[in-house]
Amino acid sequence: MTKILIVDDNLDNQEILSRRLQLAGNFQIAVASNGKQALEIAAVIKPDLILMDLRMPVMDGYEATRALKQTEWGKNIPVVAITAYASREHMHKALNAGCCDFIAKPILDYALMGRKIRALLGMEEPQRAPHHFQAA
Amino acid sequence: MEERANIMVVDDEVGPRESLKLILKPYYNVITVEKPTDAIAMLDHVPVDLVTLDLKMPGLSGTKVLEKIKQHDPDIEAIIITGYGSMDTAIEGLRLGAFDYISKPFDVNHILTLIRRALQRRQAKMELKNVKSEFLANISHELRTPLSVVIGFVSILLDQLLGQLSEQQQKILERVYKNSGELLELVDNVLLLSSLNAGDLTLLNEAFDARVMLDECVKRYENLVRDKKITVNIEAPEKLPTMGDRAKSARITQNLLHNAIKFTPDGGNITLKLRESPEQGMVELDIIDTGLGMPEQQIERLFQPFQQMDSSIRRQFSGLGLGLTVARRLTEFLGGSLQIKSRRDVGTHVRFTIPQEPAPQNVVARHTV
Repeated sequence: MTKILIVDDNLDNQEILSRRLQLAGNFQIAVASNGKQALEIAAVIKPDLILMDLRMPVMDGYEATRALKQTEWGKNIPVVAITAYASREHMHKALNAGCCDFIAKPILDYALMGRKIRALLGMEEPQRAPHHFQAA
Repeated sequence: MEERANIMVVDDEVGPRESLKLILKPYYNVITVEKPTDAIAMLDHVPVDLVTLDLKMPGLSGTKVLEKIKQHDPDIEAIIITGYGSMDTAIEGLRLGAFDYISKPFDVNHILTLIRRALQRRQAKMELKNVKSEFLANISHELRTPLSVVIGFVSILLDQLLGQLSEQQQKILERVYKNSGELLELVDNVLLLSSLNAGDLTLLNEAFDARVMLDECVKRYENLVRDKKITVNIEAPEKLPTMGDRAKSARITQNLLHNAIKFTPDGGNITLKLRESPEQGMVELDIIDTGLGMPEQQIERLFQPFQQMDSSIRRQFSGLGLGLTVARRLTEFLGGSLQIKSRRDVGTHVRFTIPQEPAPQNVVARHTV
């Protein structure tokens, strides 16, 4: 099963994301509360995708992403920054650290988030072709 | 090790120019410039911490150059060098923000001391600026975090992921969701205004489609529009490729649209017209509502933060009137303009124009607003 690791120091956010992801696909979900914990868990479960908060105690998301990208086992795991930082500067900093996408919290469009995640996992879009594409 | 500061020496006479370069070279990176106009042009390409300026130069007068430099970046320090003991020009220079002045022929130690002190002032200013912008980023993060929890959980309930809701529960949660959204916009606008005041905004230049941007803004308010049974007509080309700052253009559009919706009575109309402006290289958006409208003299007042028309209307419509201030300030920041025409009880017509491709110096320059 596809494994997703959610990293967020806010337990409420962990829960919101887990519940949403369970709907976006058939995922196995793990959670971590800071960057250090995330690296430890990721080393064991080797997730297919990481959703990474940026500002966290102990080790922040930038540092964790940079460290992950240094490892042989982790360098190809896509990391999506999900953060309450909303500025371009933070977005660039996240991308420079090795994140492949950036989603600002609060997330207002979960459908879009689901599509991004499925695309990163190389999963197909769910069968929901627009009417005019449907075969007559 | 500390990085060497960059100093630009502007002097039309080769002798003083080269001797100053020799004096400064052991301690700083030195760029020498002969013509004042070249000095301004070069600021776009090289980072400069401090400028020494000979005030008696042909062409652009020394004070004009200083004015231009300070316009480009008010934090660049300047030291005026006067060749002829003219107090007037030195004082004029200080008035324009120069750190200090020195008369030729000058003492080497004296100018080195002045430069060191000026650079210390610049350093302190830059540090303060960083503290300010870090503070704003932190506040933004701290305010958005609990809001994202509220919005996140309410949307989980609203989407009935935890079971079916009664009609009444659904309605109440929709109101919680709507109000959380309003709070989020308020937080974003307050922080944006603070960033504008702190001179802490960067202008981006990226390719985007103005039509797509407009559609996204309209989508954001679809629930509000549906609740008030407002008809939104969009007259826009299928595609309108644009170069500019997408996020800030979207924020301006959202604020103007939100206002139009707020002040349009139930069942009213809002017309959005997006097009390339007859003025070359501009994109123009008309937002025409059938709202309350307002008398001419109220319009200017509306640009002040926290102002709405009068107390009776303020009671009727919530909000701080912040949206329009932010829209106007951001439009200026983008090098555009905002015009408002309004007739009481007929409606309001806002025209928002931004350059389709900002002038290059605007992109590099750091603005203080």
